Amino acid sequence: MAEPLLQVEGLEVQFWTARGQVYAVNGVSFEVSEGETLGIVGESGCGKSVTSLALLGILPRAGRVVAGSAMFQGRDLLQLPDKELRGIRGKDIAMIFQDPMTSLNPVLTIGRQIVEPLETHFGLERKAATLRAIELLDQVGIPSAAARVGDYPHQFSGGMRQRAMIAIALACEPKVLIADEPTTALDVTIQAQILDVLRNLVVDRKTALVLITHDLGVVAGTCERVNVMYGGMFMETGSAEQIFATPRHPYTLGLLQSVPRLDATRRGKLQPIEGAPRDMLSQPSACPFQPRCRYEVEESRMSVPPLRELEPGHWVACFNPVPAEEWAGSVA
Amino acid sequence: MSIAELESREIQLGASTGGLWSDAWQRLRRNPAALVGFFLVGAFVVIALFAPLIAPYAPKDQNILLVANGCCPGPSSAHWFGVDQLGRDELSRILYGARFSLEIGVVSVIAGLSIGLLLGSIAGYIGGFIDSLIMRMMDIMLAIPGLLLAIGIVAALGPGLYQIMIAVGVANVPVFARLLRGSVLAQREQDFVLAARAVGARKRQILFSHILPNAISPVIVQGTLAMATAIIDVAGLGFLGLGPQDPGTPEWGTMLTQVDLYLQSAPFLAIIPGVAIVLSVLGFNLIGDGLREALDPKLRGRVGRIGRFKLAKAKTSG
Repeated sequence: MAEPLLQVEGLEVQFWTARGQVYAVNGVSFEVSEGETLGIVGESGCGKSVTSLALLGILPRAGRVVAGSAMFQGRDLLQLPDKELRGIRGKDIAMIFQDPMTSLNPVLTIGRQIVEPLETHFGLERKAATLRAIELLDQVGIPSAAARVGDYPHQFSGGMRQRAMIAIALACEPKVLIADEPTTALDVTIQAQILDVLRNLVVDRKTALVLITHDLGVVAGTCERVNVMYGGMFMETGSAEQIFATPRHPYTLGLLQSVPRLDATRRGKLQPIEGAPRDMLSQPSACPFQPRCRYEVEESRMSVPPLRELEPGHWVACFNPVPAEEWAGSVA
Repeated sequence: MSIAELESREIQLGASTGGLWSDAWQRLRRNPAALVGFFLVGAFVVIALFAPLIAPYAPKDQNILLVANGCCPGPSSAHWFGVDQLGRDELSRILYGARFSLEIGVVSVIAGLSIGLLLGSIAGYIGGFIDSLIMRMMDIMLAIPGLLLAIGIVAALGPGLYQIMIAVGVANVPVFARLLRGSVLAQREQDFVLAARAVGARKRQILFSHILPNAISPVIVQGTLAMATAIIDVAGLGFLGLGPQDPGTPEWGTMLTQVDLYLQSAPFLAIIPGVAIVLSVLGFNLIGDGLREALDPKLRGRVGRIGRFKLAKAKTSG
């Protein structure tokens, strides 16, 4: 495989809040190469978004990166002074945010907001930048882009706003695109269109895409490699095929079993994961999923399970991995 | 897409509706109270600007003969509002008085607003120690009632027109600073600010093009209301004898205080400047309230929705 474009090692992020220290991300490592799509899946509050904000150095004030490195083109993003990092944000690494309703500034026109990164990074003049904005809007599939470039966000529908957000992220042709729940707020039909836009980007421009989502369906159709995240850690890492065909971590299995399926037997019930996600107020000293786990063993309570490679490219952080046939059997 | 087409598009943009301000204007136009406010303030401004053209006499021209038979002759065809104790035409003095109120009001509010804007946005955006320092200073100033603070400043600087402007302006600073700080704090946490940071926008750029335009509407409302307060403050300072030192100056507050001896014989000399003050203050207050409603983001698009609702009803009934 080619040299990874972005290589994250042992990222740890903590927040200092009134309720105490929050251990949001506890040692996350991943890498993504040109033209590759990496999925990060997990439920709300597991640290997916915090991971991406930390990479761009735009964590909220209370948050801080306490350990880890993120190598991008020979530089560690986590060590760069803010000024240099600002030169990378939006230019080399761009981000698409989850809520298109609130992530656009209501008092600026769409065009003005697409133009902003171009002006910031390339010093493009207004006129030239506006032409580029129209081109970008056209590219993400907004009909009569030239007529809409002067519209305000509230004149756009949800799907169009998300397209506009993508246009902003694409403005400087970034090498890495981090999409944080890009389709969560959208209708299914629009979701498909947006995913299509992203997929074309990866194929045509060789963009490295990090797709963060809680939607397993989105991941299955888009990503080559998938990381399953829980409690600020990766529980299972593998190719999309490995994760969806033979999940080995109880949490991954739980996620898959929580999704209704048409091909399941009539008697087959949905099996939700019992309990709530752990609060992140203490440093993990056991498997974070242990309190909700049906497969827990003595060791799960004693120490944090390390990621172990069960088959080539398929890593699982569990002392008692689910048998490979478990999920395959239930589907058949 | 050629540049020429782009330009035509830009021209269209100017005329198209949909922006925050054009929306607000649409709603303001449908608010009768605000329209009355606009009328009053409009009249006030026109009078102030064109006083020399409108006024039948010069404001300082005395005609002692008119008050020879006791003070003071009431309204007549030659002097619509009568004359004061020195035989000066009351109407002309009221018209000229508008200039002082407007001038002092505008200058002091703009001065207070800009300094407050600066302090408030710095405090809100930078936060931390600087925030605490600025806001504690503002708290100290707010602890003193506005008019009292203004009186204190005039007392320190000596009475006079510019001193009044400074005093009223300074008394306005903490009000605007606190308002804007809160507004900036709220906007700073918005998703679009995070999104702007994610594209590498500079801090200054984020503050000026993302945070301030969204934080400014309460300030505009407060600015209009502060105009009303400034007029009252100016009149109050004049009434207390802290106004312009030339007793001939037709300042409304000063006019009120000069006629206290004649309240029994010529009450109109007190009533007329009083009414002038009330009407101008009322005008600014009505506009301020109208703006508050028009700029309220929760009410945005209300007009459109009502329109659509009516349309739907018409369809179902027809």
